[in-house]
Amino acid sequence: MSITTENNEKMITLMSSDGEEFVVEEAVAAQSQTIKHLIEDGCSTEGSIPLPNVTGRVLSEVIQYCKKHSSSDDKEEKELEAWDAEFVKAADDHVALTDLMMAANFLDIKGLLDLVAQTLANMITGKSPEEVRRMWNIKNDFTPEEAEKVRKENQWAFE
Amino acid sequence: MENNTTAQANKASADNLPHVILEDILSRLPALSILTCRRVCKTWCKVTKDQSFVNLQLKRSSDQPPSYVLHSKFLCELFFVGTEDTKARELCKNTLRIFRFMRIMSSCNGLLCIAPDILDGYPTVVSNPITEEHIVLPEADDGRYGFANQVGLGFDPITNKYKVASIFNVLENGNKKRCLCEIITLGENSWRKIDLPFEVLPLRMQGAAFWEGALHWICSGKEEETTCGLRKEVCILRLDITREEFCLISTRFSFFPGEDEEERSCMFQLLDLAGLLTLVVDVSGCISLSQFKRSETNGICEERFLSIGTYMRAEEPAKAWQYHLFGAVGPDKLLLRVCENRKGSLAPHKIVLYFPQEDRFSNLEISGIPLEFMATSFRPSFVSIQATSSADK
Repeated sequence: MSITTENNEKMITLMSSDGEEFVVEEAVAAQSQTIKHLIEDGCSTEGSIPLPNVTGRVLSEVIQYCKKHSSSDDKEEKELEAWDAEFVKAADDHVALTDLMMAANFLDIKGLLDLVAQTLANMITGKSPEEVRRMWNIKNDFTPEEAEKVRKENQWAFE
Repeated sequence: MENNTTAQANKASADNLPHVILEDILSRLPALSILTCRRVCKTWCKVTKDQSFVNLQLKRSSDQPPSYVLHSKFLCELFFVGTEDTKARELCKNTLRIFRFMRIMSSCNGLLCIAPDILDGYPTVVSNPITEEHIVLPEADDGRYGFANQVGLGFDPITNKYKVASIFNVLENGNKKRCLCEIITLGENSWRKIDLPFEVLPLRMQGAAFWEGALHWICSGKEEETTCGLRKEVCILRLDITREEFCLISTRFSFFPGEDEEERSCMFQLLDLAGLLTLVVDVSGCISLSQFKRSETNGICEERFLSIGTYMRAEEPAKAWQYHLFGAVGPDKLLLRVCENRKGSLAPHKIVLYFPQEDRFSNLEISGIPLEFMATSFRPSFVSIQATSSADK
């Protein structure tokens, strides 16, 4: 199923894990190395490309990012940076960001992966172990002895 | 109910995080935050100790602003100042005695090279201050005596090995100074001599700068008789770490040695500032920077030249200031140690950012710093010296 627009842009359909369909220009979708390879291997001609690891909510955000980044050239670097900052801010919290990062990893979109990973890293920087655990809802699985051992390995950093 | 769902979603996202993604995020953190993350849980602790994490963090560290260590002249104390907060933390409390009476000479990939000025029995040490791992290099076995020892640490990307090279002066017949060079690959048992094909003498400075695959020292080169007396050219001696070959880079500077050549030579300093090899020259408290870049077509040549303004010019015009440039957060954000040039009494040192384009200074308030100190910038890493210096696997 290959549709073309008035500008003669080739369109392809992406299908999320929850069955939502997105029709996008091939150039936009091809920012994902994973999709690009699927297209090159001829997987797109038989209908939509299924993306079983990405929900519709996350996919729509990913497409938003890819659209912006395929329409901008290098001259607009500053503007693009500002747009990126707003984009990750809109993702709201680290849960949404983590989902976005998993999708970027699966779809292999380097720019998005870098952007989200750096945002998450900035959220962790300077926090105490307890704060990080609370933020990510991680269970402290160290015994008191193990915890003391890890602390002692780099005692200077915690004084 | 609402809370419950959110909690479950949170849980799922932390537990499902694949190793590569966790590694990617954590490798972007500054050093202190990485150490903090080791205390979060066993998985995070394990991820940050993997060799692949160490390599990734090292690669990423070149894009991050540098951290620095503050130390007394003879390394009786060592403090770390990271990028995530404004606190100086004392380092290597238990092992510092092995550095006593030595100097920090050079840094490369988060490792510091520490050595004495005079070769008479003290060893050279390579240290990772973050992991507090140190390696004492073998001593030269010929019992040679040398002075004005300047040591550099470099990384050879072809063999993935670190090398330490030292240039120093010896006295020959008729008390004439001659410069010699020795090199050792970490893991080797002895130093090797390298022929120095130029008639140069090292100028006194803090060791060597590792930049673009080579070590660089400041030297005095050709002499010229002028109407004002003997004039010496200042040049940069470059040693390619892979090929172990020397070349000379000329600079725009020269000096009149006068009566006290040692004193004169203190004016120069060489360091990698935000990717540019930078020669810092101090003439009576006026600091100039000559910055070099390497290009395919022209080789290594001067990229820009700039001067540093006067700290607190308007507020305290009567005071004289002493500057020491030790790092850069970016090409137009320099890190300086500034103190009042007072005679007799102690003047506290402070750390200041300088913006050359705007000729503006900005004080950095850092708690826990000593009254007086020297500063060396470096990019913290988790590189294990033992692992890189062991035999090939």
